[in-house]
Amino acid sequence: MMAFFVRRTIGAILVCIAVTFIVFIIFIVVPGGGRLGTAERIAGKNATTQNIINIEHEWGFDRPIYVQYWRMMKRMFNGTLVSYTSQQNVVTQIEEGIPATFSLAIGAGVIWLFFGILVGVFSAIKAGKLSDRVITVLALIGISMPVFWLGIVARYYLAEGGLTSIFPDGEYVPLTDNPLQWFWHLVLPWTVLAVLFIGFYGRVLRGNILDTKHEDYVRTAKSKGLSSRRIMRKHVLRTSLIPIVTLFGLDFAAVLGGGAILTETVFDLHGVGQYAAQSIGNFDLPPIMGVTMYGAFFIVWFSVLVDLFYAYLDPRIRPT
Amino acid sequence: MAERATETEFTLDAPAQSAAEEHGPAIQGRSPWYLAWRRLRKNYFAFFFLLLFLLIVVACALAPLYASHVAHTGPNENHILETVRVNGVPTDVVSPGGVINGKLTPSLPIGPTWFGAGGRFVLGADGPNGRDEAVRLLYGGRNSLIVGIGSSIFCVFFSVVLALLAGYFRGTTDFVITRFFDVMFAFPVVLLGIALGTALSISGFQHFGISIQAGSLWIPTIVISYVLIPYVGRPLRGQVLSLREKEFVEAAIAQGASPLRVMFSELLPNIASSVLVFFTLIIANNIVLEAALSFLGAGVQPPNPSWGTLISNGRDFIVTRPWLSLAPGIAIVLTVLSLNIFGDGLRDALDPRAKVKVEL
Amino acid sequence: MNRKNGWKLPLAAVALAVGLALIASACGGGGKKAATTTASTTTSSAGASKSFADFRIAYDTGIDFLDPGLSYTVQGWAIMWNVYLPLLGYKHVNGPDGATLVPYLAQSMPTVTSDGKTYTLTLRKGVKYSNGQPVKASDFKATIERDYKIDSPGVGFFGGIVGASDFAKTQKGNISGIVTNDSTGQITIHLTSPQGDFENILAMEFAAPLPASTPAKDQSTTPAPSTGPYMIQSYSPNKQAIVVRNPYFDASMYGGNVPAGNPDKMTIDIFGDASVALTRTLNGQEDYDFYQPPNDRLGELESKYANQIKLYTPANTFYFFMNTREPPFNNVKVRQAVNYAINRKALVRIYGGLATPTENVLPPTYPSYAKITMYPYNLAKAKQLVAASGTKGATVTIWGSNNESRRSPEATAYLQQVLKSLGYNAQLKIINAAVYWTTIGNQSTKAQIGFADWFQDYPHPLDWFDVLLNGERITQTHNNNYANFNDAAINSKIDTLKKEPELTNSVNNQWAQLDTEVMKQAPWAPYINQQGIDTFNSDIDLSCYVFNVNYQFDFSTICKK
Repeated sequence: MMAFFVRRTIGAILVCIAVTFIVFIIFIVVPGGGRLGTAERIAGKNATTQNIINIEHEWGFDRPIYVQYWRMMKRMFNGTLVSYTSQQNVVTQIEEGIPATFSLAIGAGVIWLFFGILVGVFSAIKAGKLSDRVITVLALIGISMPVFWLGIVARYYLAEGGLTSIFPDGEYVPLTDNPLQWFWHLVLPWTVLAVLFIGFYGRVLRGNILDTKHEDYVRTAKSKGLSSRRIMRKHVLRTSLIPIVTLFGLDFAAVLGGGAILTETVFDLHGVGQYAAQSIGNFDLPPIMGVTMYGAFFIVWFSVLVDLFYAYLDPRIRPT
Repeated sequence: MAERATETEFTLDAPAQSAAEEHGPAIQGRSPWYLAWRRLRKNYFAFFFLLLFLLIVVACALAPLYASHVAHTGPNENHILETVRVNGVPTDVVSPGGVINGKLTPSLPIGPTWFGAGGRFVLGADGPNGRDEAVRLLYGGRNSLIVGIGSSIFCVFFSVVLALLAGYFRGTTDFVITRFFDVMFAFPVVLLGIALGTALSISGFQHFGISIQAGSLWIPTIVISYVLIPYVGRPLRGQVLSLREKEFVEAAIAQGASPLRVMFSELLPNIASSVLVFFTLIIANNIVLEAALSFLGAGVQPPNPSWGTLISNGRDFIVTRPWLSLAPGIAIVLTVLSLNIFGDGLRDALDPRAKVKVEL
Repeated sequence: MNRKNGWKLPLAAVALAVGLALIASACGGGGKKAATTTASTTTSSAGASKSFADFRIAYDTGIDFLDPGLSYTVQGWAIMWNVYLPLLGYKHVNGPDGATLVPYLAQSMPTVTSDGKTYTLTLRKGVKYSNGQPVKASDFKATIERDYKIDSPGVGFFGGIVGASDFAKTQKGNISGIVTNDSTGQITIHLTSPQGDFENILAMEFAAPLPASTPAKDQSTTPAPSTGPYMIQSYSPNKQAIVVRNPYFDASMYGGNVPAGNPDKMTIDIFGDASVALTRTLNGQEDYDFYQPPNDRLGELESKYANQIKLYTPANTFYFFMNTREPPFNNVKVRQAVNYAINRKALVRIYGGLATPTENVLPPTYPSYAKITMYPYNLAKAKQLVAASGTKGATVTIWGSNNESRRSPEATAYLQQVLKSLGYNAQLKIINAAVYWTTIGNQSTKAQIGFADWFQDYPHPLDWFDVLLNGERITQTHNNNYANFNDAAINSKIDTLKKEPELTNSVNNQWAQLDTEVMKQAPWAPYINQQGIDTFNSDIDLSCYVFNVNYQFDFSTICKK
């Protein structure tokens, strides 16, 4: 177990480094992020040639690529990494976005896990009947809606400034400031983000349950005389939920890591995902590196956790 | 003929077969594909949605016809200062706006005319350039479908190749390919998509002897296909790996079959049904992803329309001209829904008990 | 938001302020405005009746820095002109008089030697920073030197000071051309050659004195001590800035030039969405919306909130540049054809009707503006010119940025259709706003035609002609003269006018004439001056509304009902 853990940790670190390397290449090798462009952009439109030369030197753009990469990584770990456009500390900016992103992730995660399981179990029990069909179509509609479009439509129909003014129109209110408003402002973003996953998880769970029902050991249990309910709970559900847990672990990690870019942007939550999208739009490499590293960290660590959990649940699997 | 890798199934044909054996002519063997087709045919639900999808594709392909014969305008033509007669009433395509008679007035594009203007501006005009929204919807659909389907073809192709290589050769090849998947997985999909899309939107792709212009549809196609390779590649690799252990593959190798032959004749056919299902579902996913990237400005570049850019452009007018954002969104939902339902039906038909998991 | 600026080549001082102030006080018409201003400043310095607790502003995300040495956006300057006072500044009044320069931290307007190369000012006695520290003459010198150390975008303005370019290179020692004496408070600045807009430059935030000990790095989140009626208490980027009264500010020292301000505090909340900001303002959670209201809510604004909005025209010009070095735009007929072919009325509609059409380089708010009507819309004539030039069918790539608030994608999409109707094979290339200016400012891009806009840095024609149209200022990279316009006669006229110390009527006429001369050769197709809307909450009293030509809506002089 220990060996597994150590090996995965090293793997995780290597993956994170590879991720930053790729991002660096994308924005340095592609023109516009190139050496001269960045110094000019920092210098502003009034720039004198001397100004640009000074900036290139101070920021290290005149050094070879691998030196620049090394310096940027060093600064990231020192916490001194600074954005090109705003000269703000990247780590501070990410920290400020974390409450919104975490609130979005946790709330939406709870909703989609709960309803996803509910939908999956219900439609599996009623498999083949009309209610199952209806739910399947609804779930599929949920998956088919682009999340940013749903957000725009939700804002138009349900938020202030639109047709009805039931909900506030975007923005994030910190939990510590006003718990009621925190909740109220997040209802629409949570729902919009969850809709996609509920449909998906519902269908996957339904498929798993139906598959498991046909397994031999379930048939044995039934022939032993166990009630359907009991079989469902103790045998079928447990096995069926395992892939759901895997999926949830990875999806949740992705949202925590700032992956809900579209939801955050449409609702103007100022979370880490929105910060990432803005930085990309500004060709601002330091925050992009910072956010990517932050996101990769979550995804990679959660996949380790999920593997461990898998091993715990299914004794046949030894973590290797 | 490649042997099916699943257990012998108890099909409804079995009693018919044994009955026929007793006092009938020789039984014709049916390939699994034919059986799948028969199952699919009975699934009216899935078929209906396949037809809907094809209808959408045909409608978008016929965009030029609509443009010239119904709307009498192209997707990029501006009609800012023109007027049309809607049910006899002359209306500005784009209203003047500004301070008029001392009152602040918004400049608004014409709303949906619903054929009241003889086919022009059926869904209204997109503001402020006064272009025909219905025409743009169809041309945008063309671009979205081209990117969606094209990127799926590339994605599935490269995923299959990587999965076969990793699953057959195992060892170091598998190690390298899996690490590659791991690194790609560590990026949230949308993030990597907009990073690549934005970076390539400046000067296009000018490396390795290939030159692609920035405004070309190839850029979002390549970006989307690249970004989703691990999501298709990893499950397929898992399947190939388990297939690799089967006796018939060992037998083929023992007989001296070359790696290429084994991969193409033994492994590939057995993952074919998964690939087909993946392909359908990935098209659905890619259409949504393209819309998302274009919405953020990292996909299809203006002035080319795409459903995502139309939603983004319509955002400014969501209160007064909601159809500008609603129409492309509904188009996406219908298209993707059709693909999803058909994909579901396809999966059921190909193997009703298959454990194909699309880990998106 | 980008601001452009150019080099300030040498020229004699322009007592633009003095000139206009004289004219304004001479005319009776200016008296009324002056009276209003005096009234409000007197009342505000008298304090009680107009002051109120908190002015809550819904801001956009355009603040780049809240460090006067670094900020180069209207968003930053609008906050800081009441926080960091330069030696000279503008009057807090409506209308063209707002371009008048008056002494702020300086006791009086500078004395300039007859050759225009030496400026002498004396610091007011007894001015203190918000931390109680006295303001010293040497602080001014240290501030300019700090600007070089932090690679400020403002250093281009100081290039005319003796010793500045050496200091820029080495960043060692000091700028020899600035001599200060802390005991007398005297500041002497030597220029390499006379520079007509130097006083405007002294009035920029880049030249607002900070304590000499201010660290040579961005102070936005650790605001430097201020000299103005307000100080920045805190700044959380993309979230909020809080501005409070400066306890050490004494309005009586400034003779009405710098009002004490009505709000005791300004809370600037940053929103990412224009619609959200507008909703908050209309329902009373904010007092003022800096954002332009979304187009589709204008109807709502007019019908329900008509007396809470103000329409304004900042000094800007939007234009399509045409690169005179690249075919087909190296042919003047083609450039004139484009000017005839674009229908400026259509472009006004693209900007929601909140724009005025223009064919001038200068905006109509300038005294040196004389309306040009050389290019009325005439597609037939345009086609004739194209035929005469023999360039029909040429491939043309139009460049635009993806900046929505400037409508660059829409305006260039319109231009594409126009060029197509002229028979050109017109392609559109929209690139990310973050890299747009550096891309078209790079000669190797060979951009033929594209979108551009310019918002004044200060109210002087030099900020336009010298930066954007002087052939001697063309550079290989970071070029601002996108048209690469290089006409020897016009270049020398610009250089001559640069030396004029004042914007007299004659000088203004010459600038207006230059505007016409330039447009005869049509390096640009100017098309609109964009207008804006300020939206307020219902309990704000708009009779106190002051719009300064340079800094726009003045946050300090507004009052509540």
